[in-house]
Amino acid sequence: MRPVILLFITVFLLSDKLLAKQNTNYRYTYPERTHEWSENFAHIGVVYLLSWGMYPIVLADDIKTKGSTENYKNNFGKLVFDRDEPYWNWGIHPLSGSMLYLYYRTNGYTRSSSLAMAFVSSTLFEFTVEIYTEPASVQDLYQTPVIGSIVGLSLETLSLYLLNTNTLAGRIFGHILNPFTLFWFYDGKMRLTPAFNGRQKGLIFMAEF
Amino acid sequence: MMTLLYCIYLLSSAFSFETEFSLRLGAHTSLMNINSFNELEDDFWGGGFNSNISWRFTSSEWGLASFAFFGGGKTNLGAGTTQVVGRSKIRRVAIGPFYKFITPFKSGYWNLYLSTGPVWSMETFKFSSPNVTSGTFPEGYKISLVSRGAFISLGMEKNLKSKKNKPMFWEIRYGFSEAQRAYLVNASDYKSVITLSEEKNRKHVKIHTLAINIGILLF
Repeated sequence: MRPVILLFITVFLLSDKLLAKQNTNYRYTYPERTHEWSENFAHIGVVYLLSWGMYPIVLADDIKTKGSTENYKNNFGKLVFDRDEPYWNWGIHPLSGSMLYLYYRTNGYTRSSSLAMAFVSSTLFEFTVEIYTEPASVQDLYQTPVIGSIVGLSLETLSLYLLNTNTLAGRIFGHILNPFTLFWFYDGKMRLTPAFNGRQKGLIFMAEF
Repeated sequence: MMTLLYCIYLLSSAFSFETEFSLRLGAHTSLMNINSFNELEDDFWGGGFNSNISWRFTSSEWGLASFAFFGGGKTNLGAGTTQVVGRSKIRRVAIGPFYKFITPFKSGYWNLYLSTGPVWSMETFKFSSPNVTSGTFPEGYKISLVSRGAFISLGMEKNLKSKKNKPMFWEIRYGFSEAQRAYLVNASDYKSVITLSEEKNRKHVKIHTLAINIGILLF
């Protein structure tokens, strides 16, 4: 209880700074553009590699108890209705799907294209990564990208609204709702530039939020 | 394999026909009827939400839909050697492809359409104070059915020039399914559900649903 009270007092004392309008004309939006096929495959590849990296970290217990190459072979190509509780099917999977959707949106894809790309990414995960522990699930195949996109659309709308309030509090929560707006691929808000000046070599990091 | 091919089709098509690829979200109120083990007819009233993604052609659409139903009622169900009677809450998720024919009949901006398709579903029953007629059924246990069937719906959707205007739709939907398998599961740990027994050949359990659905095209 005490940390909550301290948090409220802190927010109250800082409220004039958090809610003060900042002097900027920048308008947050999602710039959309066309993509080459090579870009599409690169994005899918990056997301796929990240899913292989994160899966053993997030589900370490499941991998210890249920994961094996034997399971991988047996589960390959199988499709079942899983009996998971709503914590997974209505919570974790749509949330993961929303992050996929938002990743593609901040990379310039339209809403429809982001849904399609999220579909491809989550299908690849279901059929080639998660089968290490369990067969691909019908609910997950649909709900991760589709319900995820609906959740992602809500987060996108709320995030943009907060970012465009031009207040510090709005910017903080807007970026928390869509963390991908802090990355370099979102409208150049973060830049990493090599610098060379005779003997000195380095990198210049610039972030604007 | 079919899913992967469909994804590739979506990916290839989405960039050339973006404005014809749609995502819809709706809410419904429904009556679900189960002709269960002892041929007792059990009604479940409830509601839920549904979604679909579809690819639109001139007068038709192809897509994938999901229908989630949450309700309550009294039923008599079993899996393996366990048989349970009593009031339960039900959670049902039905997923399947569909074909939608947009008819030439109009009323103002509203277009009449007919939609149909196969459905694969899972129904999970959580009993409160059940009467266990055979086997054991401690707290945290649930019975799940995996079913297969089809649906047909008749509805109207606003025919607007642009998806950005978020056209609305409403429909009446009827679905019929036959249970294929029944599972007794231990769901006392919500993060890890354990399947205790599985029973095949449950085709005598037939599920009818009647729903009124209203929704909107998101993008």
